[in-house]
Amino acid sequence: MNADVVREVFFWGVGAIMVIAALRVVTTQNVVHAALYLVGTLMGAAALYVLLLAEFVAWAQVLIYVGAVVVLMLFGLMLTRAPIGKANYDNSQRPLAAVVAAVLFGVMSWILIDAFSGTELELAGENAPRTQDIGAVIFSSYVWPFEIVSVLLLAALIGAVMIARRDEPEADKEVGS
Amino acid sequence: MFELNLSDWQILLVKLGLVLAIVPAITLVAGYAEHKVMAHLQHRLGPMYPGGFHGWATLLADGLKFIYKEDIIPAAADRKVFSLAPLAIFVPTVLTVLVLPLDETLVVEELDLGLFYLLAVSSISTIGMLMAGWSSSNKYALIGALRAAAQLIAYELPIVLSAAVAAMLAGTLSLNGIVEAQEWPFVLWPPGIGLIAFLVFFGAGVAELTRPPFDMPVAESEIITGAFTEYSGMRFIFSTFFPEVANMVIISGVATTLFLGGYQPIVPLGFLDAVPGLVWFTLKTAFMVFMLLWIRPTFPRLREDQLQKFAWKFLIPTSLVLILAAGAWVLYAPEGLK
Amino acid sequence: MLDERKLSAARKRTYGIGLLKGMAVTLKHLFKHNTVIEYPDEKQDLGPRTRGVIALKEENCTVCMLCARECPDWCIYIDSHKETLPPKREGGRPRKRNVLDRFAIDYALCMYCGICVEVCPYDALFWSREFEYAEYDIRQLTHEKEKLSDWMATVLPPPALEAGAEQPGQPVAATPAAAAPAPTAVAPAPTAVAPAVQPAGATTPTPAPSMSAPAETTEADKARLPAPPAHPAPRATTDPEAAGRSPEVPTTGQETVLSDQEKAVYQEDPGPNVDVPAEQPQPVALERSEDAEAVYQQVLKEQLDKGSSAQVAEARARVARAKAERGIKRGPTPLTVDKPVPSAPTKGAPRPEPSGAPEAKAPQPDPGPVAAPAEAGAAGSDEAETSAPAAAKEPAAEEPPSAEPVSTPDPQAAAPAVGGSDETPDQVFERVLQEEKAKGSSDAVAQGRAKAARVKAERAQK
Ligand code: SF4
Ligand code: SF4
Repeated sequence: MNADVVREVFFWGVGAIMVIAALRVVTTQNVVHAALYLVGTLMGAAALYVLLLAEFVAWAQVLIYVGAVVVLMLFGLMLTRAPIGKANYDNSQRPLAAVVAAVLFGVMSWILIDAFSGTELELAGENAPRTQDIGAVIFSSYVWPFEIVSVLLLAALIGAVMIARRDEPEADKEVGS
Repeated sequence: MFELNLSDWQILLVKLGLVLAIVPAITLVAGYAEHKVMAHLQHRLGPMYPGGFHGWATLLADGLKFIYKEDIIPAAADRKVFSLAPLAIFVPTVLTVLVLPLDETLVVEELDLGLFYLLAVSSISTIGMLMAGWSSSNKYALIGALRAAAQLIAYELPIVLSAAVAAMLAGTLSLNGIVEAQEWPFVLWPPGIGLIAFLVFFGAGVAELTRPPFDMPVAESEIITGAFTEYSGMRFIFSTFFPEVANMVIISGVATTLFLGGYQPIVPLGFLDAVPGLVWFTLKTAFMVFMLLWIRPTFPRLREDQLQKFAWKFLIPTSLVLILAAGAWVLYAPEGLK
Repeated sequence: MLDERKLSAARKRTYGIGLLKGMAVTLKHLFKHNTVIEYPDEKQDLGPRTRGVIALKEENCTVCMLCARECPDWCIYIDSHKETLPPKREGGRPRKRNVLDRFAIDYALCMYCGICVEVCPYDALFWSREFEYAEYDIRQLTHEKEKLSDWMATVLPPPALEAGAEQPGQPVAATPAAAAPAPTAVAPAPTAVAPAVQPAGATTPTPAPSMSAPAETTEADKARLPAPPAHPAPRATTDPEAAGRSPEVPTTGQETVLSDQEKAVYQEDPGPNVDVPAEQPQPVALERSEDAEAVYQQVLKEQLDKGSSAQVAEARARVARAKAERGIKRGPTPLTVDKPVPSAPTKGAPRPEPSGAPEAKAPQPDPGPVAAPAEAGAAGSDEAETSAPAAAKEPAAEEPPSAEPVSTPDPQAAAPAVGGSDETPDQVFERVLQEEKAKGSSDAVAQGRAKAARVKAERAQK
């Protein structure tokens, strides 16, 4: 069995799982199920990254999206409204959303194909991407985007704290840990 | 690196089989140790009957009992999610073992990004907790799951940050590399940074395990067994007992790897090199496990708000400062000291 | 709030030293020798007052139902039936008594509060230390009377009294001169009674040495033991036959009217803290004219000499002074008691085992039953029923009231004093009212009792 064939099989298998999961995310009637299908999609993406030898991105995907973002989504859903069983949160904008999603999908596919079609990635050997290279690139050529994102996140963090903070005097009276 | 051939697959399968056999065995040993050590710390004897000699077969008997128990799924539960949740907790636990270097070459898969992989995979089980809690259709379970999620998210940060300190000092994310980069006296060097990072990692690790004194997600006096209230039989084993004990060993192993010099001898004496690294690794991990067992019966359970305060107001700032210090050390420490 | 803040600040200042201390404690225990008792293999010597299982002494049970009624869980089941015994002698009245058919405790419900044991006035229930009676079937946790009686074998003898403890009162033998207006049973040994009741040194700081000496007390007690059996009342004053009441009519009502007389009888043994009726010779403590302060000093000294701690000595001395003051103030005026207090004599007394032989009744009246009629009366039970002998085996061994028919030729001595047909209910009312007032009962009580007496008298007339 050729390694390439194995890779192909994996790719298409994972791809199929991702597509099904993604479809279920938008069609399922249960918000929690939707979030769990999203986990499937994101894990599939991570698997694809691994197939592309982008290990760092793959683990980052798992750590951040699965381990944090989806957990927070689930957390929020369960804290607020997450009835077990069928709960129809549909509304009349479903067709509109479908159109928007389709357009977005088309645009992104077109851009990606336009930009990268025909590019051969060297996955093994001298020029294979290494984690070190990612680090070096982030902190050299992409340092400005990196910093801007950091500041944006910091602002979001402070904003969240300000919104969540209660300025009640009782808050201070709590006994320290 | 990706030259797969048939024999590679076979090796991988054998390795996986070994892991699947050894992890439960180690879990049994650690679980038994937990029973006995905790009992003696509390001036008790612990199990004495099953198996005859000091109750060595207690956990086997327990397991047998759980196998025979009825697997109950509540009528109002979300059956699919309910049955999948133990899997979502159990599988990541086993997956984390794959990268732990037990000896120089004794590792299932030596990954370039071992540390990162470990942290990423172990974060998945949070979803399992949430699934279990939500699908049980039980308020205790839901509250337990929410507590667990809040706690795991909060303590994920100090763990990642303090592990990052170790990675920065070693200059690599590979677990083998981190072990190799450490020199005697492992955790005490560089002065302060290593020890504090170790303590932060350890404290956050205890919380990540949801073990006392950080066991609010399963606080039995408040919410029964938290997210696993409705579980029974084998599902219960695979969702609570097994991951808890296995994770305890794994966290100890990770702490050993990151801070205690992994499979290196405890003191750098020439003749000690003859002892296989696995022995050193086991000894150090056992010591860490003992520390965890020691903490458990000693301290009372914290309150939920105290727990969150401890993470956000103490551990996370501390580890952020540590990262700064570690960076400064790596960049500016005189060459002779490093 | 403020304190808590200070506390947490103080905690912070220690920088986790407390945590290390805690860990040191548990570590120490890791190496300590274990003192665990491995239960099924080793057994603990449980304390003498362990609440393991309740044993029933069937002969003592009179089916008074107190235990069943007081049980918070209602887990005592009692069935009984009445039996009519042939008269003891020719021409006598047939006696009725209750026979226990079923006595069961459901240990699946029982919460081991011990109320039943406490409340049983006839010493029929006891705690046993046995606790290993788990069952696979919950229904078997209901122990029937045979099983409950079997537990009797495991009941420990009552523990010895502590040194210096109050000597429990002895069963009081009424004077044979039952018709005497005042019970004089105590008269032969008045000085002996007082010390028996008072803790040595507490209220008897008197020069009379015999009073505080326990040895003397015991002797006095012994001396009283062979006294004739208790005879509840000079009831012969009313002719019960003349009352014309059929034996079947429950003799209810007499407890109200007779209670004073009964009281007089049952107070013959005053028990601790029960003041002695006026007719009795006053205990010396009350007669002494010593002034309170001297009492205080003396008791204090005695106590300190005895080796009591300063606090205890002072407390006892203060008590003695207070008692002395009261005693002086009241002097020899009659002290009345509204309620008969069957305190010490019923419980805790080293009770002689009923020998089972009917002849034993005279020398060894059981302490328990002494208070029974009073209690039973308070509970509104039929006096004749409750005082009936518990078991056929020992018809009268422990029941001074039931000894009546034997010692008195008149089997109906227990008939109510008010039952006489020569009194109209209204007269009864007046009389009882007067009696009660004379006794010093409060108006309300006197009225109530008088009314009750009238009603009963009316009923008896019909
Ligand atoms: S000890 Fe048991 S049987 Fe006796 S009163 Fe209490 S609950 Fe009832
Ligand atoms: S004599 Fe004692 S055991 Fe018998 S019914 Fe009365 S209280 Fe219960």
